Amino acid sequence: MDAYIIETKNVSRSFGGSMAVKDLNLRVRRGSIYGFLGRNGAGKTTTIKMLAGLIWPDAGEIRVNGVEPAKFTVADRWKIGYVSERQILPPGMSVRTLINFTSNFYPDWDFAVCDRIIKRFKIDPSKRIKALSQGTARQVAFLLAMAQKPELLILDEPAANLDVVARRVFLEEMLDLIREENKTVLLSSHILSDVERVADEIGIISQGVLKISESLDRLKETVKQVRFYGFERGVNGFEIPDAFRFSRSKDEALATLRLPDETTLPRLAATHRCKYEITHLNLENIFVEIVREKE
Amino acid sequence: MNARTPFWPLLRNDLGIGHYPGIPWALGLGFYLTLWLVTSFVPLLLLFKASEGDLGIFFTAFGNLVGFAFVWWMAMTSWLFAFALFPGISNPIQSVRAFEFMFTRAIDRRRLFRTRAAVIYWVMLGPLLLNLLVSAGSPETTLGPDASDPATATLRREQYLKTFPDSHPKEGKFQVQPVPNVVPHGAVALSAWILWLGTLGLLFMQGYCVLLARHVQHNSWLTCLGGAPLLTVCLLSLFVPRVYPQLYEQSFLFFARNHVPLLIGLLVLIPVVQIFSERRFCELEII
Repeated sequence: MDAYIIETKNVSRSFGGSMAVKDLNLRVRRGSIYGFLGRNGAGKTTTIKMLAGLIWPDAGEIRVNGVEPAKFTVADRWKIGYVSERQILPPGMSVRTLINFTSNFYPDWDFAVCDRIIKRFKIDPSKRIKALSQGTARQVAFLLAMAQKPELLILDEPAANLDVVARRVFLEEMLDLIREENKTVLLSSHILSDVERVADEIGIISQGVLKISESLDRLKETVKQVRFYGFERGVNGFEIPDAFRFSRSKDEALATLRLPDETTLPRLAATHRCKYEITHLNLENIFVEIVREKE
Repeated sequence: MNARTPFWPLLRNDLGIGHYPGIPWALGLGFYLTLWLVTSFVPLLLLFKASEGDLGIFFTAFGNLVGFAFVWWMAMTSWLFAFALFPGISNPIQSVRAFEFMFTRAIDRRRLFRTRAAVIYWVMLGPLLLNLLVSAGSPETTLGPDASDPATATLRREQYLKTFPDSHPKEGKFQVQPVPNVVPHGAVALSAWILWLGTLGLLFMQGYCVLLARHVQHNSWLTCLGGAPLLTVCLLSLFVPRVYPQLYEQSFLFFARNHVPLLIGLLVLIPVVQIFSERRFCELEII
């Protein structure tokens, strides 16, 4: 069994001449919760749809569970749960009918999971989908994905339209799933505090390019914001080309950069004869610093 | 459970079972089936009855109506295939995304399409099939003297004799000449021709809609233009018979003369179109 449940190699996809995803090399380790982050239009949904076998790449190679999504068999689909950003469920079906209908296609369908989620989210199973709020419909979509007992759960903005309490329940359910052996979650979300709470790997995509893909701990350990000041020979000419973000004022500079080890900053300060001050960043700040780079 | 998608849940889903409350669903289905039978099957019977089994009168008097029936049938077919490919009821074209749910479940897309196509085929061809079944017990068909000019009438008679070599003069005394000719199994041939034509049209519609489906999300102009060829065919089927009044009759006679190769051709075409359609359907992207 491969160590990575998702692997993409130089995947690109464009729409009408506009490049949505460019040379994407994404690897998601089995058993991890992978937070996939990006601004609106960054290429998250395009990537997720390619992984789910809803659209095809123009170039490159995708493997999900070792299989190309274009060649997914029914048995391959048993192992992949999917909740999309704007999931359309059959509007005329009641929740109960939809559950029964969907259960026909899965050998390991777990009605106990359905009942548990229905209870926790307080969903009325006799209601028709069209009568549900957007948030509740999203919960039903989540329920359907969970009950099939997937090895990989792909969630594209699953918590959108959920209130704080429902979001918390959803996260707890997801953690329950991950506690089981060999379960993997790919989670795309705008709510970075949620992602920070549950994810152990992070990928950040910006303008179709994957900027970061590593463990959350390492990301937080190595990406820092540093204020450089007290330049003995003046700030002019001070540059950090590899910084995610760099700005310079009259007598100081501010950079968001990766510090691979503890010696990086002292060496930099010694070279440029300046002092420095480190600010630790949370995921949201790291995300903002990285995706604002090109602005 | 094996890795094959179960058929019955898909069929129930495509028949709308479970999508609506039981009684309204049953009433709706009853209403539409009745409407469909009344508008498709009954007119054919009425036309045939009104022509008193005379194929000449049938084609001369009702040729244009056959054109209208064809247009009606095409319109229904295109709507149904649009529905099959774009399952949003209120606005079919914009709801391609409604397939996202089915495409991300453990459902074989080929089987999904096959089930939908089967439902459409049975609904659309049902009246025509029924027509063929009852035609076996219908009164004998004839070709009597017609009102067209003698040259045309003679030509028509020769064509019918060539097509139906077993035809023979009707028994009894007739004041008009020539004596009406009995066309053996004429009603069956006529019904089979209509069914053949309907199946061919259905296959054409299926192939065309599947070809079009993958483009509609990318380009709204293509979506609009997609209906143009269908409209053109509809208009042609109305206006060509006015320029060439014997179009449908000649088509019928051609079918009757060559029914074996034409039926074999159709039987070959069905799996070809189906395989092509299923392949295209599997490649459909949900953007």
